[in-house]
Amino acid sequence: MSTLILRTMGRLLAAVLILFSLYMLLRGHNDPGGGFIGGLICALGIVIGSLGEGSRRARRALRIAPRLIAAAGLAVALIAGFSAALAGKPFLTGLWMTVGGSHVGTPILFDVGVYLVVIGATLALLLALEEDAGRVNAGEVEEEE
Amino acid sequence: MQASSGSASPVARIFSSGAFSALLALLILGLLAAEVPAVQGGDVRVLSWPWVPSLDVPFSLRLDGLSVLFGLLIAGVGALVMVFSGGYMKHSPHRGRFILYMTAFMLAMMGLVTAEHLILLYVFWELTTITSYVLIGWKHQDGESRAAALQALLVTSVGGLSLLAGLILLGLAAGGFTITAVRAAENLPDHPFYPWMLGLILLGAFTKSAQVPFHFWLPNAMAAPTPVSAYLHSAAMVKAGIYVLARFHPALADSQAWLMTLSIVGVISAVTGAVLAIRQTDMKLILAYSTVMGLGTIVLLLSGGDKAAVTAAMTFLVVHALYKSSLFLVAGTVDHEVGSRDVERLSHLAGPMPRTVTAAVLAALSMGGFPPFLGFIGKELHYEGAMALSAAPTWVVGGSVLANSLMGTAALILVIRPFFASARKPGPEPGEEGDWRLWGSALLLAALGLALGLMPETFGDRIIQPAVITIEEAPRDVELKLWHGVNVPLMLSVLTVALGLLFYWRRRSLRAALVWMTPRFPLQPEAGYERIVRALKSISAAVTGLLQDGRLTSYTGVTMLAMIGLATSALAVLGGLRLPGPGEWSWGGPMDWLVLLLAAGAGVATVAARTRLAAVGAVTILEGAVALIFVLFGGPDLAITQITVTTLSAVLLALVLLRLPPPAEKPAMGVGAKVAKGLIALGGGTLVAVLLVSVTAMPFDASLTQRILKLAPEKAHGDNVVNVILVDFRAFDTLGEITVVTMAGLGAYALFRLGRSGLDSGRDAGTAGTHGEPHRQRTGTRERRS
Repeated sequence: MSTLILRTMGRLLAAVLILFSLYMLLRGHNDPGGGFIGGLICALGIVIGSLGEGSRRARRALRIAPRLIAAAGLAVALIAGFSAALAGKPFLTGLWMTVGGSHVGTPILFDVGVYLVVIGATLALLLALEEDAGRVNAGEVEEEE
Repeated sequence: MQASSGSASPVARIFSSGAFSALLALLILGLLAAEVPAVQGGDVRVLSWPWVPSLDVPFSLRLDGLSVLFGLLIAGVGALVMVFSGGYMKHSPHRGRFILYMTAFMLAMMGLVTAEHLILLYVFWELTTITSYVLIGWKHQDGESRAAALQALLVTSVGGLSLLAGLILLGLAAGGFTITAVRAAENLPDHPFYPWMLGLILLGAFTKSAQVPFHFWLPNAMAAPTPVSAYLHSAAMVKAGIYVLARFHPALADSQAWLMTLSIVGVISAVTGAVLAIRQTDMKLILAYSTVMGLGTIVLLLSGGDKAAVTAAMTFLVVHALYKSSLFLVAGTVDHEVGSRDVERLSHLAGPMPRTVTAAVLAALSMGGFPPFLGFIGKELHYEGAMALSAAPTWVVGGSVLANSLMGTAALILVIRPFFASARKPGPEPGEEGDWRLWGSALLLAALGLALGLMPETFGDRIIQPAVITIEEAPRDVELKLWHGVNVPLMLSVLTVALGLLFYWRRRSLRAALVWMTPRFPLQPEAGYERIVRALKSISAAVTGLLQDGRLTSYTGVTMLAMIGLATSALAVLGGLRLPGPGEWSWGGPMDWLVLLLAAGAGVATVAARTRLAAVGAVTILEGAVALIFVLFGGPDLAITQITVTTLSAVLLALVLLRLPPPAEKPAMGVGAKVAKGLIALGGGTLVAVLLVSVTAMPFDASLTQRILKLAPEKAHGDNVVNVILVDFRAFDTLGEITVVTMAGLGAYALFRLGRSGLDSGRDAGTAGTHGEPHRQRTGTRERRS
């Protein structure tokens, strides 16, 4: 699957898309974007990179297993939700404070959680599928039916 | 969970020895005993904590004479069974888990008999069912244990659901969901709900208390380790049905239906249980069937409102719990030390096991109803109560005498055969006295039957009378005596003993006759149960096969057809379709038409594509066109999402394509199939189009939009309302969605990891490990069917 064009462009696109995904994540509260879209874009970047470079390199670059990224995202979202309890408010109530003129609050943390979950779950599926397809291509696994 | 191994912490070791649970039971016992003086005078104590305030269900407990009686039994027998379990499970690596389940059961049972709110009562009822399931299936490597556990679960949970429905009707009819409200309600038997609530509650009680025709699960439940049989399936859980009958006796019993149902079911269960007990040679099975007899007797005695009958029921409850759990513990000790429970194979155990045999003799004397044991008092009261029941006293008394004399025979078999007689069949060598915890708890329980029999006045005043007062709702003077003078019950007792000895003498011919007869009996409830389960399985297999044929095209077709059917029938019934008038159509600009053309072209290309790769490409273009539509109509978030998802799914589809068989192997689709699929697709498309046009023709209510547009910057400091809704206003929905997404990712991971090689290694992993049962090999053959 790995062609010269894909290898060259994949790496570049991956870097650009991952950066872009962070931008989309952070601007999300006021402009089109957000954790879900950001997560999809980031996953897309990594998948394109892995198509060129191979999923093994993609996994090494990630350092953390995708399923753990998803679980961590869920944990972050829950922490954001439970932090409302510190202020004696119901679960998932947004807490806000002003830092240097801009508002910072738990919904942003929650959005980061969404971002991580989407990245983790998408990559868990796609990287596994890619490796499976790779094995089929290499003739390691018998075709079914 | 390796709590009993050497490396476990001291706390875990103490817990898994049962000491902690036994102390807990003793603590409860002490607390309840302290309440005795209060409930003796008819006092009721209700404690309440908020639990589910939104449904108005408090966690409220009630202490009155009845709950104290049951509570004392549960805690008292529980403490000794916990001690016994510690010894019985000594060699099991899972002893801690066993004790944990037993303790959980004890607390659930305690909650059941002290619950004040009807829903709380139901919750505890089901908790006992669940713990019973886990404990019957303790030896889960054994298919028979699993089947027995499932059978008990299914039978008792059908009863549980029925009880829930009955309790809801009862609460509605009584105007309140507390026992206090039910007791205060008047003339419930005249309420229109009465037949329903009675039937439903009785079904619940009869399944739980193993009444004919639901009795078959109880002997099968003997697959559980013996402490479980001694506690759950003789002294405690099977008494839950009795508890419910006694608890609602004041509200429901004043009717012909109650009297007839309980006396008929009770007599039949008592006689059936006693007869089938004689048929068995496994000590546990003899005891299990005699438990059916005991429970039937109590049900019979609760059928009337007479003081004598109610007193007899409550006394027999205690009598039965004491001797039965003690005999179970004896059977467990014999099994543990000798390795068999078959009365035909065991012989002369009295010499090597002097303490166990003492317990067995004491308990059996109480079971046979000999003076001065509590069992004698129970039997005298039983006859007195049976004669007081107005419905067909001849039959009731006749059945009772037959059942009681067979009980005497069973008691003789249980004591004489294993401990004093010679074996009929080759069996294991006699063992010797085991751990002190084994014979100690059995002996203590049996001795209690003697002690209470020797002080009947105190026992009657303090324990039985408060319960009778609770059931009868009137001050009653209960007097228990050993010697009533020469009267009809005494004559019946003499007759019972004589018959019991006669049956014992002829036991072998009796057993042979029963073994010949039982499979020929016209009513076989267990076979009926199996037929129902089989029928359910084949129905669900048929439905699954119909709906889940494994072809993606069928799923899509069925889903699409269901959507078309539901939507068109809803529109046909409710109406509401509003198509715009001639002047209201908007024709759009050139950009709209261009995108539309792109989408339509891509759609046609998808269908016409000859290779799968081309079809994937065309679908991707189609989805891109949809994204453009979102852009044109001002939904940038949606458009971005659509584009990223489209790209990812193109990658995904390309990867999946590699896994599919080459298209050449696929049989060509027939014309008929093509037409059918085309019609479904056209139908779906048309429906959605018509609905969309209709929706956009409706006047648009913008108040919600305005409200959210105003609130988003104010409350959530965000201008992008889509995102504000996702992460703030409806964050709880999003949390649910990301949980699903995580699960989907994990599921995909697991499928790919285990998909091929993993499945085989996964299969092996489940079979290792041993579970705690006696460490010796069992030699006795076990008969299970009734």
